[in-house]
Amino acid sequence: MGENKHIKELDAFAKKYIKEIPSEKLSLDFTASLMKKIALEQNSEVYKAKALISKKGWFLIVASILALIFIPFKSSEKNLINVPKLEFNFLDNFQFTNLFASLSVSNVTLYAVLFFGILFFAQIIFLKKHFDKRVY
Amino acid sequence: MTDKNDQLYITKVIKGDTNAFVYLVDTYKNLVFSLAFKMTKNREEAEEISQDTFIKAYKNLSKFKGDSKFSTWLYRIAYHTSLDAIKKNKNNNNTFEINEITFNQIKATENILEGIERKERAKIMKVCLDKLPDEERTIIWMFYYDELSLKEILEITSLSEANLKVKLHRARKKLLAIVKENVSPEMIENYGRK
Repeated sequence: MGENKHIKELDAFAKKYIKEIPSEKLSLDFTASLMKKIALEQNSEVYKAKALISKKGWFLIVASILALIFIPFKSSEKNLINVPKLEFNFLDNFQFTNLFASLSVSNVTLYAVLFFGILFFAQIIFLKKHFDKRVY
Repeated sequence: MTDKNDQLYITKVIKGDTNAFVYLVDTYKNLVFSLAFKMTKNREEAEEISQDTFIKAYKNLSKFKGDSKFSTWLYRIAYHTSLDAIKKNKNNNNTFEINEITFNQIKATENILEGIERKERAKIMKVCLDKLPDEERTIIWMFYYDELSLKEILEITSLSEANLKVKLHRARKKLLAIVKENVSPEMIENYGRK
């Protein structure tokens, strides 16, 4: 009962005086800057990076790897498909000579190759940063 | 339910005419901003919220079914974006104790207010309104300033009808108590009489 006392009077009071408060105005360039932001967001959506392999793709890859690992064990007791047994013994008949036996690499060459490898991977990071910047 | 003009521009935007969105922004920007400003009490934050509201609206425009007014839909986005901002900043929500309001107290406060110049009175009302807790201030603003119906406020805030009515009434009582406290004779001296 007490909670609903004087609803009419309080309502009239609020109605009368709250309307007198002047409205706050936005800065003049609000619409322009908003539209610029929207245009920018649209562009970034066009450039949005997509994963090379989708989730579905990953699922298929993982599933097929698991299948490759586990199916041979399971089916070893009971062969579902008759796979012809491959014999690689014939390879023993060939005699390979070690072609690289006489090859010796100097330390300098080794270091050069090593640094080349490091720089090759380092530039991936720089390139990624470069392309990220270009998007925005 | 949606205004025909609004619907026309909404369709244009959905079809890819980004510039048509300017009409919707210009029509509703002050509504959105004033709500955000009333909720956060911070101009910069309110402007940021207004931007976010329109960006969200732009991105989700195709989801707008037209069952309600476009302004109500936009209000809903602005309301929730402002709520998130308030939660993030953890504004201190002043709890204001209110005693029983009497008819005489209402009339006496009105009399004092009537004796103050309109411009100054508006200033006092603004200060007093800002002293209300966030949620109650927002409800009062939507109902009395923006003149939204209870149904529209229910749609925006997702409150139950009974809860909204209780909150609205409590907010009115608190506002009167705050105004009464603020228009003490010393205050009137400061603001100047007619």
